[in-house]
Amino acid sequence: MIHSQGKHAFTSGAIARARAQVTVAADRLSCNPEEMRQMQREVADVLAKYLELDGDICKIRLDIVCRTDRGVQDVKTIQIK
Amino acid sequence: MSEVIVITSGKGGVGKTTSTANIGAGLARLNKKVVLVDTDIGLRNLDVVMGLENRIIYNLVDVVEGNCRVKQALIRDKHYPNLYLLPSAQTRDKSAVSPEQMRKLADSLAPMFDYIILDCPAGIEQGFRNAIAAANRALVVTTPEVSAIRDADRIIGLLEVAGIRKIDLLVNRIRMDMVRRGEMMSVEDVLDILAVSLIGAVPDDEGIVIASNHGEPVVGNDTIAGQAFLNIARRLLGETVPLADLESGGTLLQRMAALFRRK
Repeated sequence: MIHSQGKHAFTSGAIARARAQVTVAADRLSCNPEEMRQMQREVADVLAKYLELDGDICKIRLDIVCRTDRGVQDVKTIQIK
Repeated sequence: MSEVIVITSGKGGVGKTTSTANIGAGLARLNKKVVLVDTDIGLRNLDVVMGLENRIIYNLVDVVEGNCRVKQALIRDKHYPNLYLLPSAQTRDKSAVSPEQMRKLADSLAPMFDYIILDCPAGIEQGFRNAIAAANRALVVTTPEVSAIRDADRIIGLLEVAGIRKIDLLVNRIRMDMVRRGEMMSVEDVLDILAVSLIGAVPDDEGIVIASNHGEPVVGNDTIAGQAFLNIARRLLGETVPLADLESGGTLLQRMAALFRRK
C-alpha cells in the first residue's frame, strides 16, 4: 500500500494496481470501455444542462470503485472529477 | 471427514500444479494422508512435477469408466508414504468425465484420505466445472500481475456461484525486491483488489525451478518457497502461522542459508 501512494505514485507497481482495480471493477459491473465512454458523454450532457460548461476546459473522469466482500452485495461509487 | 480442496486460478502458468504438489507434500509431511488428483485431462502435468511419470499404469478416466479399481490407479509418492497421486489421462479430452462422476470419485476416495486435492486445469470450461463440482474448499492461485488478478476475480465469482464457501487466495511468484522498488504489486495490493482471505504468499524462488527439474517438491528443503508452502499446509490444518517472516524475504537464518547456497 505504501508503495502505491505518495512517493512511488508513478511506479509500474502503482500503474499495475490501478489497472487491475479498474479491470476488475469493470468485469464485476459488466461495463465495457465503450459503455464507459457513453456514460461519460451522458454525464457531460446532464452537467451541461444545469451548468454553463465549456467542453474544452471541463474534463470528466469516471472512477468506478467497486468493493465486494464475500456474501455482501456490491457497493458502487462513481466519482466525477 | 475428508476435505476436498480444489486448486484453481483461471489463468494458466501461475503455478497451480506446483502449488498442488507442494501443498500436498506439506500436508503429507504434517502426517496427513493426502491424495492429489490431476483433473487436467489431455494435458497431464502433475505426475511430471512430482517425478512419478514413469509409474503410471491406470489413470483418472480408467477409474471413472470402471476399467480399474481406484486403488489400482493410485501412485505412492517417492518421498512421502502417505502421499498419493491419481494421474490424469493424456490421450483423452475433458468431455471424458462429467461433474457427477468427479463427485462420485471424490466420495470413493474420501474414506481413505484426510485431504483430497484437485489440481484444476486453466480456463473456465468443462475441466474447471468438473474439478470444482467435488470440492468443498478452494485455493485460488494468482500472481501479482493484472491479467492473473483479473482472472482470479472471475474465478472467485464462479466459485461463489457454485456454492463453495471457503475460498482462500495464494499469491505466487512475489518478488520482494521488486515490491520494495515499487515495480510490483504487493500482497496487500492484491488482497485489496480481490477481497478474499489470504492463505499465503510464495516468493519467486529459483529453488522451485530446480526442484521441479528433479521432479521433487520444495517443501522440506531450506528454500524460502519451501517454507512458504509448508506454512500454507499448516494454515490449511487450522494453525495460525504468521506471514511476516516470508514477506520480508525469510527469517535471518533463511536469508543467510540462501546467501551461502548462492556461492
